[in-house]
Amino acid sequence: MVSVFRRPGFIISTIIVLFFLVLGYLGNINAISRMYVSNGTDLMYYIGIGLAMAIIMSYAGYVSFGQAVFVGIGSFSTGYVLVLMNRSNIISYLAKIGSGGRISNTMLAVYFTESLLLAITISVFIAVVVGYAVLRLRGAFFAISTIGLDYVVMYLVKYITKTRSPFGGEELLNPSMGLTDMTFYWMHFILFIITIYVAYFVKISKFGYGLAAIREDEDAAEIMGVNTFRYKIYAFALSGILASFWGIAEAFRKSYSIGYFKLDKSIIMLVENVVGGIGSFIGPIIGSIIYYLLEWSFLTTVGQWTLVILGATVVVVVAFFPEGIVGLLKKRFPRLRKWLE
Amino acid sequence: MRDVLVVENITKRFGGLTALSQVSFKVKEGERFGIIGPNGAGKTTLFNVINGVYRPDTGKVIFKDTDITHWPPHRRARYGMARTHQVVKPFSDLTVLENAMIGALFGPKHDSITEDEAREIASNVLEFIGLKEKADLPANVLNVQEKKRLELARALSSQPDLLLLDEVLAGLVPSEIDVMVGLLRKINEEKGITIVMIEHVMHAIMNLAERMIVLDFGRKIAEGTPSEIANNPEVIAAYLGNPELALKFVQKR
Amino acid sequence: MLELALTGGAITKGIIMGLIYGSVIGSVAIGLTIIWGVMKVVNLAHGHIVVFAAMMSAFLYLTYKGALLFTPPIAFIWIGLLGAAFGVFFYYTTLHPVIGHVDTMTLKYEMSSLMATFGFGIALYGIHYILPNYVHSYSVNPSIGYSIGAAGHTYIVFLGVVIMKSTVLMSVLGFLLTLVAYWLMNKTSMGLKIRAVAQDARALSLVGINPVKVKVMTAVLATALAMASGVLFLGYSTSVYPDIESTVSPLCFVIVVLGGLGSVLGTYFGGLFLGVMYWLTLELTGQQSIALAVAFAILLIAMVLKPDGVFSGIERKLSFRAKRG
Ligand SMILES: Nc1ncnc2c1ncn2[C@@H]1O[C@H](COP(=O)(O)OP(=O)(O)O)[C@@H](O)[C@H]1O
Ligand SMILES: [Mg+2]
Repeated sequence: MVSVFRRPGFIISTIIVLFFLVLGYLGNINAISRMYVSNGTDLMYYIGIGLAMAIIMSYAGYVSFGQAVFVGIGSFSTGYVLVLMNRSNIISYLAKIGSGGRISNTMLAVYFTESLLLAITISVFIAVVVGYAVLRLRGAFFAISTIGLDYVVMYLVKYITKTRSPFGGEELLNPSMGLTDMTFYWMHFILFIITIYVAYFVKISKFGYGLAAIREDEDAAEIMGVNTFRYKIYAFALSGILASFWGIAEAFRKSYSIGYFKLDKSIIMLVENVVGGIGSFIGPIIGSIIYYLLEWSFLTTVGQWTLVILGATVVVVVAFFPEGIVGLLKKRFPRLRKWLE
Repeated sequence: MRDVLVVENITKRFGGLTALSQVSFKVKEGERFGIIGPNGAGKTTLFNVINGVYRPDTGKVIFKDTDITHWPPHRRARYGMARTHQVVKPFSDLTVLENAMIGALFGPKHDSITEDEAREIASNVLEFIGLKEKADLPANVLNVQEKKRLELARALSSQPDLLLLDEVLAGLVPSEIDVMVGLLRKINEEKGITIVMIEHVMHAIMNLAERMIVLDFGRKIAEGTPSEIANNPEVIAAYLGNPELALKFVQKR
Repeated sequence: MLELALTGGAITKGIIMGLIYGSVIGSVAIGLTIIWGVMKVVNLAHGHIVVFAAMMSAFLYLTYKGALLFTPPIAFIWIGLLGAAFGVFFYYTTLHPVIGHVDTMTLKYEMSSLMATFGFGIALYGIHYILPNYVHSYSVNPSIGYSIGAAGHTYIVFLGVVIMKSTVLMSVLGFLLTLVAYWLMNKTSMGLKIRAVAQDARALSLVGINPVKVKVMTAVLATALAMASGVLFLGYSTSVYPDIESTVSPLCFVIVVLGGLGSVLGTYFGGLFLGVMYWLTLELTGQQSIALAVAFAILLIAMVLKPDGVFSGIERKLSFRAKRG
């Protein structure tokens, strides 16, 4: 069989990663290129959350409305590390930064790592404990129960931030660490590499085969030896960990916000998967790119009409291409099948 | 020869309905064992109890000398039990080859097998079953008869010790039945896999099975070799509800 | 840390306010339970439809202040009727292309319908931001919405609890709406057909009833109820803005799960229960976020322990008694 490094999904992932690498190096030339850097950062975020959702939704066939809870947890973890811990060294940095300084890369790496560890811990804990109960439900019932999960955590976090925030409200503001858009770009880039390759290797691994079996027929999968319950919990947790990474990335860039827990975040992840096509690795990537381009172009061209047009687009896509873009391509061009892993 | 499967006093109720009542039998290693009985007799339910889909209300299932009554289905599969379904359950969006690979990846060799080996085993099984040329098609484009063979291919790919077959011949035309019967005999004789099969196609199962039991309303009403069964008055009485089958019985005698 | 104010007064207030709120939010959820129970469609546009009606009625009420036509008890009726027409539009643009001719809902159709209703929902939400004189004339920021100050500003004192009169009126209207929905679903031939579709769409076509027609009726009924219930916010809340959807929708899910899919009375009781739990927690802790966390914890627990609905038996018992009586 072909080596992993020559498989279509790996090649496509690597092309995308190289694209972002080049964009990052070209980024700092002038004002226009810096605008593209900002777009690139957004795009990595959109693909990232799409792929995080893919593991539970596209691979395992479990639709979660509450997956934003993990994005929120990531965002909160960063808020916790940077703000709520009230660390004296951050506060002293603030003073230095006021005079044009920048937080050292070492400290940035420390805070970044701490956020990751905190987010992973909370995500795994929640995914396992709650997943143990709700992953017995199927279809819409599972989907709705995750809304419950999302909102319980969201309101608890809201309570914590409200009682502990130095700003007195529900939101937190990052200390200004003198970071530029390029720093945020590279932070996103690190998480992007992790997300895209984890998502790909899961897809082609034995675990991925097991999830595919669960998606297609859970009872048959169990009878054929797949430990369906355990796999579902693993998938839920892994999806959660990856989603939390993107909460972290965005929180470094824009500060923690309760908004990351909101249902519309989950729904974006969901739409990206459905538009791209369920069941593949490429699908969610294509779906995310298209979703981002649509939203971005609508925002710049039709302004206030964005939501109306976006909503109508979703209705039309679902009515006419229920199998998503990958499904459509597979049907129209069967010879492409091999490339649409 | 040792008993590979021992079913002891199995009772299974669904609400008020007793689907199985005190059913016991033993299957020897390497045997071809048949289960027959009218529709609704509880045959599929018995399979579901044997492979763990349902927990029995009373009784024990012993497989390869281990009491597996409380094991979940996936553990039984990994311990060497494979089955096919009366109503086929293919993984529709996956290719035929991938369907079979899943059998290999999660079967008894699940913790040592590599993806390449699984692919190899799966292709060999597809070749053996005669689905080789469909290997790269998605399972949902197969016709019913091919889907039945895919069920069998998936089960075989796991390289089981015991194969439970739920009406694999149903819906096949006579020529296909002959091919399939030959295949089953080959599986049993060449690969040494013990087969327990539920079947309505009388001449086939009478030919193939070495011993069999008869279920009626959830009770085991007879056990023996095909010719003993065919001469058992209680069995004939049970089948008299279905004149067509009764006729087949008489013809067989 | 969290402090509990465990006093009799707090408990009385929690229960009374909870029942009032529950009656409103319970009736808001009925449109959702009907579509979910009958068509197996989780209507993600439901909250947006409710809020759309709330915004529209607030706009009209504030623009034509004093006009009888736009006071809640009257607007409630004609906006409901308008909702029936809107339901036809909703069905044919969004549901019909996906599930119009589907007899048994598989996971695939479930997901498609979810997406379609989601799309319809955000389009409807977006409309609030493009109608020029609609929201902007009453506030600077469209996301702030209307400050209604709850019609009338008059209070009553009951068992020591100060209650705004308009909220009582709204909870009564919510109860009436529930009775109407119950009557339509359980005592009319339309309701019979709708419930038959929930059982088996194909069998229905065998006896000569067109399932599509029944599905249209279901969407019409559910949308009419949703829009009528939206008007209740006009008298219940002190302000109405598009983003209340993000609380209303999830709460509706909790209520429907408590009430049992398709059960009108069960859903209403689910609303009362949730309202009381929410207000009790709020009164005892003084923390809205804790109260909402409790509400959603109830959803999680109910889904895991009793996915068929906690209050779904109520409807069966009541109709049984009605038959004997
Ligand atoms: N999950 C179930 N719930 C309730 N009744 C069942 C269930 N499965 C099977 N039955 C009933 O048990 C009896 C035996 O069914 P089955 O084992 O499928 O029969 P057979 O395979 O011999 O035709 C039938 O009456 C059937 O309706
Ligand atoms: Mg059967």
